[in-house]
Order: sequence, then C-alpha cells, then structure tokens
Amino acid sequence: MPGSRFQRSPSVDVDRTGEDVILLHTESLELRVLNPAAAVLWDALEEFGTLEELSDLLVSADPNTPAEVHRQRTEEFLKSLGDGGFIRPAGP
Amino acid sequence: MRRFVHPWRRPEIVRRLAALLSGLPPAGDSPPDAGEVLILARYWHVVPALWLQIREPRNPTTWPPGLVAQVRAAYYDNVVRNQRLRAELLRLAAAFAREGLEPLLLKGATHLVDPPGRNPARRILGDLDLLFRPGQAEAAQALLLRLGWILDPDTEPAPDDLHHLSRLVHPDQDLPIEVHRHPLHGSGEEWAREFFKASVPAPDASIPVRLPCLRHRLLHNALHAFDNPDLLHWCSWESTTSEPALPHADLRQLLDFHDFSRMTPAPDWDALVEDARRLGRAADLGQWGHLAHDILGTAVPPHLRKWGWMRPLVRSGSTLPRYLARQAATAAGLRTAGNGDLLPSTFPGSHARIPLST
Repeated sequence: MPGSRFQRSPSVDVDRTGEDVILLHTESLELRVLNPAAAVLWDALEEFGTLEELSDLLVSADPNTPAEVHRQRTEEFLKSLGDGGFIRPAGP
Repeated sequence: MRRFVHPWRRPEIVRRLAALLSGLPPAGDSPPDAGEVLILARYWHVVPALWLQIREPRNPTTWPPGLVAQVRAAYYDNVVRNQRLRAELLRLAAAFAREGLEPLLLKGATHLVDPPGRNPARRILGDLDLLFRPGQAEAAQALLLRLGWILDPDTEPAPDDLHHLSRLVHPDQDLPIEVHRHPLHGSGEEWAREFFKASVPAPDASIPVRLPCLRHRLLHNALHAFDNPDLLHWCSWESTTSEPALPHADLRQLLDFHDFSRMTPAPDWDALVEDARRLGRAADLGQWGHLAHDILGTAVPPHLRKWGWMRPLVRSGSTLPRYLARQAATAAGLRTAGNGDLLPSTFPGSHARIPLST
C-alpha cells in the first residue's frame, strides 16, 4: 500500500445529510459510514491519493496525536474502502 | 360510476409528489401537507426515490425534520433489503445456470443488476418476475421448488393459460417469485421469443441473466400498468382529461417509465408504438406516456402521448377489469380463467371469449 495511489470509484453515492457521511456502493449495495475524520480523508481523495499524503494531512490537522496513529488509521481507512470497492488504484 | 378516492390520493397530492420525484418545480400556490405527500409516497412505494431527491440541496423542502428522518430511514432500510435480494438473485441465477436455464429479468428485478438511475436502492421490489424461454418455465419452477420455495398459500394458483406460473414464496425470503412463460397478459410464446432475441446481458457479464432491451422495458412497463383495473377504468371512460386517472397511476411504475426513457441510447419510440399496436394496446402506451409527461415531465414525443384514444367498448383478456369479470362470472354462473377471460364452466378447456361490455 505505501506509495500506491488511490482514487474514488465512480460507483459510489455519497450522502452528507446526517452527522456522518454515508457511502453506498451502487453495484454491490455495500455501505460505509464515515466518521468526521474519515470524511475528511474521503474528501481529500479528490487531490491526494497515497497513504503518505493522506496521513500527513491528518498529522497537520491534529499534531497532538502521534503520526504513527494517524498512519495506522489511514491504512485502515484505505483498506476498508478498498475491500468494498469504494476506492480503486489510480491510473498512471 | 365515480369511485371513492382516498383524500391523500387527490390529484394535487399526486402532482406534488410526482414533482418532487422528478425534480420539477412544485405545482400550485399552496403545496399539500408534507405528511399527506409522505403517506402517498408510502402507498406507491417510492419513499427511497423521494429521499434521493429531497436530500439534494437544489431541492429544498420545508418538511419537518421528523418526516425527513423517516424518509431517510426508509431509504436505508431499502438499501439493506435490496442488498439481500440482489445476493439472493445472484444465487438463484447461478442455480439456474447449472441447469442450463437463463432467466430474463422483468420489472423491478432489472433494477438489481442494471438500475436506470444507477442506484439499485432507489426502487422497492414487490416480487421477482423471471421470464424463461419457451418450454423452460416449468423446469425453472421445479428447480425453485427443489430449492425450498413453495406455492404462495395467500394467492390463487395460476390457471394453465396464464402468462406466469403460480406465485412462489420462501419461508426465509421476503421476495415472492413469479416464473413467466410470456412477458405480458395476452402475449404468447412469440413475445417471449422476441424479448429473448432482443435481450441484452447484465452489465456485469458474470451474472448469468438477461435483461430486456430498452424498448421492451418501456413496453412491458406501460402495458403492465393497465393490469390495475382502477387505472384502466378511468383511462377507458374519461376521455376529456387525465385528472381522474392520476390517483390510480402507480407512481413507482411511472417513475420507472420516466427513468427508462432517459437511458442511452434514446428509445426508438416509433418501434415501441409498433410493438404496442401489434399487441392491440397502442392506447395503453399513449395514455401511459401522457401521464408520465404530464406529471413527471417525461420527454415522450408529442404524437405518442395522447389522452383521447378511442378504446374498444368490448374488452377482453388482459384489458378486461378482472374484478368486473369475477362479478359477472359469479352472477352468470361462470368461472373466471384468472386473466379476465370468461370460460363457461360447462365447457372446460374452451377458450371462446364471452364478450362483456365494460
């Protein structure tokens, strides 16, 4: 995963009407509920696509939390969304 | 005969709900109460589709937060349900494939693998309608029975000449199944062959099902709508305005028609009308197109969305209101064939239709 670049799948419906952001994969009908930090990462996938870039983003937003914790959370985020097809490897 | 229409099925509420569903500006100066609109949306099973519209910032509503929360919750209930139904459909399709059978999905089932609005959770499914090639329906029904499906104890067994076999239910599934021999009332093997010949594979080619071509999706949608005797009644007898028919138009089906009409490439409307003419049902298609254009803004060509069709006074087969047929049959000592044809009980097996003026 380190160094890999990801992008959002076009087959995702995003619901921002509640406190959490809800992603629906419109082919498998799988759901993911994003907490505010994960929602920030989802939005950041517009411009940033690697584990390092996304993790650095969290570090800059919350420098009081150890960087390793942010990196671990970002890995979990990418793995969960990748397993469900919500994100996919970006093209070259 | 003026029929009773429940207060929340008034035409102005239908128009308001239809406008919300299609993103049109609301009609009228004083929109109906949100609660009334929601009741109607529940009645026609379009609450998930309603959610996908009212959540959009471009469609602001003044609905009370409690009602909005109900709509949202209903949508996610349907996400979960359709996810389960889709998984079950895939299991069934695989089982059919092992037997050399390939179902063609009709009506709501198509939304599970190729939703016109790209979101399969938008549509609530009532049952699963599966069409099989001529001669294969009985084998498909037998397979389902072996897989644990049973004849639905709450519906009458289908007569031998109906276009589908007896409805099936499963103790652990909340999705009844109807195995179809023919696509529609009044159509025969010829139409089953045509549907298969023009059919397309699922977008995900690993799913072994067929889908009707766009023209047949529209045709089936429009003609099937007139299985509703109340809609047929008002479309038959009210030739000056469609207003009395509005409370009886199934908005879930009409929304499907609207969505199908926007798929690409654009439908071949003239070929669609020709199909309907061959089935003797051009009036049904024209009136359905008129209703869709009138309340959903569906882009049906002008010459195809007419209201003032001259309909035959003597109706038979699929277009005969079945409730009237049953009443007449009971009074005359006849039995019904289930599809509206009246068969004299003293002539079992006879297919001679008894003209009945509605």
